[in-house]
Amino acid sequence: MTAFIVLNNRSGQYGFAGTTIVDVNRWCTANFGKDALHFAQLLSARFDAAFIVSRVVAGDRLFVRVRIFKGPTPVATMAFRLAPRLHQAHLSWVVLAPTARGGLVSKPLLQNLLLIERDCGIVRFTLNAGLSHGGYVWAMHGFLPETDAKWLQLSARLRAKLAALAPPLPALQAQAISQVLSSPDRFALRAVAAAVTPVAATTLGKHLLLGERWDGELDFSDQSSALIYLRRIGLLP
Amino acid sequence: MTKKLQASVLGLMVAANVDAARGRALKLVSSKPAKSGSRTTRPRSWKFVPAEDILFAEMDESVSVMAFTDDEIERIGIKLGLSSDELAALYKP
Repeated sequence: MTAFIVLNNRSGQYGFAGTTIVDVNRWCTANFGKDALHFAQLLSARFDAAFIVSRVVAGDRLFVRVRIFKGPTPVATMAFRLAPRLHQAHLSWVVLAPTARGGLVSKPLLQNLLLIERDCGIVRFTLNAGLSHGGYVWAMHGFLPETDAKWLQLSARLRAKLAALAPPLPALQAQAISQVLSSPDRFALRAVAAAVTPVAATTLGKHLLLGERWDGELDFSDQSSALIYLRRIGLLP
Repeated sequence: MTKKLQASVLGLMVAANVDAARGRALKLVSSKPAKSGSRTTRPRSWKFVPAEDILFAEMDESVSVMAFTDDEIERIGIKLGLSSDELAALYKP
């Protein structure tokens, strides 16, 4: 059911295994425009090696799990799926080595994924923003709740968190953030994340969004969202 | 199978560079035989943390990348009907 691709960018050696590698290769040629080897090379560009596990589901979706190496050390593992017919990609999860700070792994990794998405005609990039930092981090990367209805669910939780704040915010800040949180527009999440009013040794945006969970999407056809993301992953200054 | 391949991915040797477009399954051969019990001796560097934790730390470290540009803040204000005082209170304290 699964295809395996190994690639050593330093030596140029690569290998394929698994009975469904033919399907994966066919999917890559049809949807990515190049074969599975080129897919693996783009996904692991600027890294030393990659080990990719992948399979085609329902004929048109590609599930991918990739482990990325720098030297002999694995520095990241990421799982995502691509649905070019829907112009949609979903990032299931990404984990990094604790030593991978400084943007030397996260930025090229997300840039490579973006190039794959571009070549597959992806317009909508979704994920579940969660864990301890994801609720804030992905908002700062340009993601918004998938729908206004999902924003309303999130904003209700944020209002409760705001109400429990002690000491309460000064009047002007409280009025402003209340107005933001009462907006029915999912775009308001970005306004929350960006709020830098000091609260309990952090910012208001972090205080409200850290630890929250929401289903997010990045719409590449929305210029402001795309620009924020490109800036965050280091493709724009 | 996955774990075996991960442990020696850099040592994997391929018989020949067969064109990927053919979709042929190659026989993978490790240049280093797997050591017995290697699963229990995973190096410390193989531990991972959620990318969100790293991205969060990087955001704090990166002073050159501000949260949002002035244009973005202005756009937020217009879209949500915030006054200039309210904008300043939230975004330029």
